[in-house]
Amino acid sequence: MKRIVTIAILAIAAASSAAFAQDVPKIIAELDRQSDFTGKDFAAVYTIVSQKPGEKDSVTQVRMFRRDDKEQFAMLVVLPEVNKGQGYLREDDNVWFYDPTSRKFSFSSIKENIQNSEAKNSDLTKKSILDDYDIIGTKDGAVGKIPVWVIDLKAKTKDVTYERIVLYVRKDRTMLLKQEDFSVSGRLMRTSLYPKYAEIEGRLMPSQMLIVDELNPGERSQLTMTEQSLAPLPDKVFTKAFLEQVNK
Amino acid sequence: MPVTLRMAFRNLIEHKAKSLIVGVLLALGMLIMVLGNAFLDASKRGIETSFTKNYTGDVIITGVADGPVSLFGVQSVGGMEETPTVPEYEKVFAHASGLPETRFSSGMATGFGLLTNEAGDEAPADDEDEEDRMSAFVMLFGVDAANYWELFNTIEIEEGSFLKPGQAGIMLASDRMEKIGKHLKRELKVGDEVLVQGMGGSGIRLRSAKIVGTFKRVSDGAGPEQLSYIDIDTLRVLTGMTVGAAEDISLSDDQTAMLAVDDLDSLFSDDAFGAIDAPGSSEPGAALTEAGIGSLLGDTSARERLNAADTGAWHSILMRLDDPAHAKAVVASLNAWFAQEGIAAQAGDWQKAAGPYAQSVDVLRIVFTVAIVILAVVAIIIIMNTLVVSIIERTGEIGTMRALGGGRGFVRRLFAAETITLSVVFGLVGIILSFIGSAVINAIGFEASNEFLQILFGGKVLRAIIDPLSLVGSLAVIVAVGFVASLYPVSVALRIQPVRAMQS
Repeated sequence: MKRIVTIAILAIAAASSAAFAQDVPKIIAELDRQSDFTGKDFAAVYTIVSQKPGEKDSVTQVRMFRRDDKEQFAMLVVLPEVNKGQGYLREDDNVWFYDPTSRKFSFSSIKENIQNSEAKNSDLTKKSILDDYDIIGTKDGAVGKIPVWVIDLKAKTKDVTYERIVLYVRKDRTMLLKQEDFSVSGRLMRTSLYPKYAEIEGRLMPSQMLIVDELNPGERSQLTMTEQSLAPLPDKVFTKAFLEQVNK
Repeated sequence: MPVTLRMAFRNLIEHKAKSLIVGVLLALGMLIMVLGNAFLDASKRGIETSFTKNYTGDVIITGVADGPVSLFGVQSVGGMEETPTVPEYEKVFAHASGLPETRFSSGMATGFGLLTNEAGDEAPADDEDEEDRMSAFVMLFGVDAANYWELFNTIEIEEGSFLKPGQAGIMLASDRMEKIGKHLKRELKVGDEVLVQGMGGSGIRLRSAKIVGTFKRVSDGAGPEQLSYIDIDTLRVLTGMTVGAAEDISLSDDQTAMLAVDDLDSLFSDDAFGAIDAPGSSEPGAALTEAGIGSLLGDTSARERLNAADTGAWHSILMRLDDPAHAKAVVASLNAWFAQEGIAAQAGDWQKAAGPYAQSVDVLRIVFTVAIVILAVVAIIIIMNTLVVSIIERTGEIGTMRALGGGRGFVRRLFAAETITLSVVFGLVGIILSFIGSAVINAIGFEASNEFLQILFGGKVLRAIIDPLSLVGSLAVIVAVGFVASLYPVSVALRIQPVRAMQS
């Protein structure tokens, strides 16, 4: 009798595990969908407070404009005053950085950090995890007291910021709670936590994030999203002329 | 000639084969010690000459920070960004320049930059090759063109000209310009503009810089390869040495609450977690219209003021003295003056200026010295062992001498005379071999193929400089080794009864 029960339990566990494995692409697709505003324009203000040992906290506030249909974004630095008007722009395949004090654009990258913070340009843009990564492992886990799926992913392309990422996705509702980013050599580089979300037209966007630099102990950044809007944006916002015009 | 010495000579000739074996080992030991010392001396002098002539001068004055401050920034948390400027620069510079020992002096500042292309140019190469990718990173020396070039006359212009006082621009090393051009996918020449991306404490800055000249060094040696010279004001802006003061930005508790959390998982405890802002719970952003773009940022006049170069900001003052031997005294007098005037500055010699470079050189030199000492110890052990065997083999002879009335003291003196003679003669042979060896090495001129070897060699070519003092020292070591090595076997041989010794 005992043997039958054991076999039954194992069979159920195997079946649920297989079912979960089948569901993982769906879970990731849902995460991608939540950050995708295709068909709409998205705008928000992000306040990034960064902490480094022995230094005063530094604050950067950026206004983010996204048009996910064309994978475009424009990011305008609002604070601090000394960097006001600097910006990042994604136009076609290029990401540009603009310095209003010299009125020059230089080549930048989606992988670059936003000012001196731990946040990268890619943290504020549309996610495409399913396109960029292969699933290499899945298991059960917990973040705090919340049961999660732990999904291990390896990059398919060199265009992504990190070679390997591990996602901790809440089980009862598809929400990314934690993400670990690893280098090519397998070293943990960053841990990002998403404890607070905002619901925007059926999509869940992290309204607060904490990014912890795992290489430099004590260095972390908190991002807070406010003033989110899905109102249509002028086409000009996604051009170099926009960054020049706001600085006139 | 005393009888002991005559007998010693005769014995050495009598035991030609043994004498030759021990002698060759002694000569080799001498060769290793002398050549090793010669390399170390050449390396030390090479690095000192290279740095003082090309980068540091004889004395440096910097501000004071938590860690040691060098030409390459402060060695503590924050690095380059936290490098202090020289306080009361005008007063300090006037005092330093006015010292009787000072021939030339100049202010400068250091930063790092990335050479890149601007809109309209092709995107820089996404180099797979680490060296190509690194070629775009440059160490920038922001110089006072009015007097810097007097201080460092080893810099020779290949094309174009030196930066002139008040002129904005950049000077690139001629051997790096091609590599940079390859990375930027365009052929660079004097007169072209390159975009420099500075990475300072206040963030990224872009400045276009005209290439005014290319240079090479007359006195090549170990040092930062990726060094470029740029006008001081451009460097100040690129590195954030601007008049911008710290801004007070008010934040809500909510915007910083997570920064203080130690247990990150506690963010997801039942009480704290689960927060999903309902739609419309936060203030929505106002819709942006084309007409509103111009007023999106509001007033930007403060930005222009905050980004103006701080014209009094310098990281260091470098000094060239009439006689470099006075550096120590000048450093002491400057530091005493700073203390007296209450100025938070400090003076130091070229090693302070070279900072991390001098330290890495010291580490390499220690490794090199340890390797030579190990070699020398191995050589000494082999020499001792051979001497022991050769004396033990002569136990019969010692017994006969004793039987014929030779006292213990006589036998000891005889063997001491033999080994000392052997050590001196073959030590001199070793010295001659060392001179030949160093002449051959200097004539061939082995080139350092990488930066590591350049630091080890103290320049781009391996040199050996034989110091007379080290010759005398090495000879004394070899004689002492020979003498000490003979004590034990002779005392063993003397402990055996003469009759038994003769029988053996």
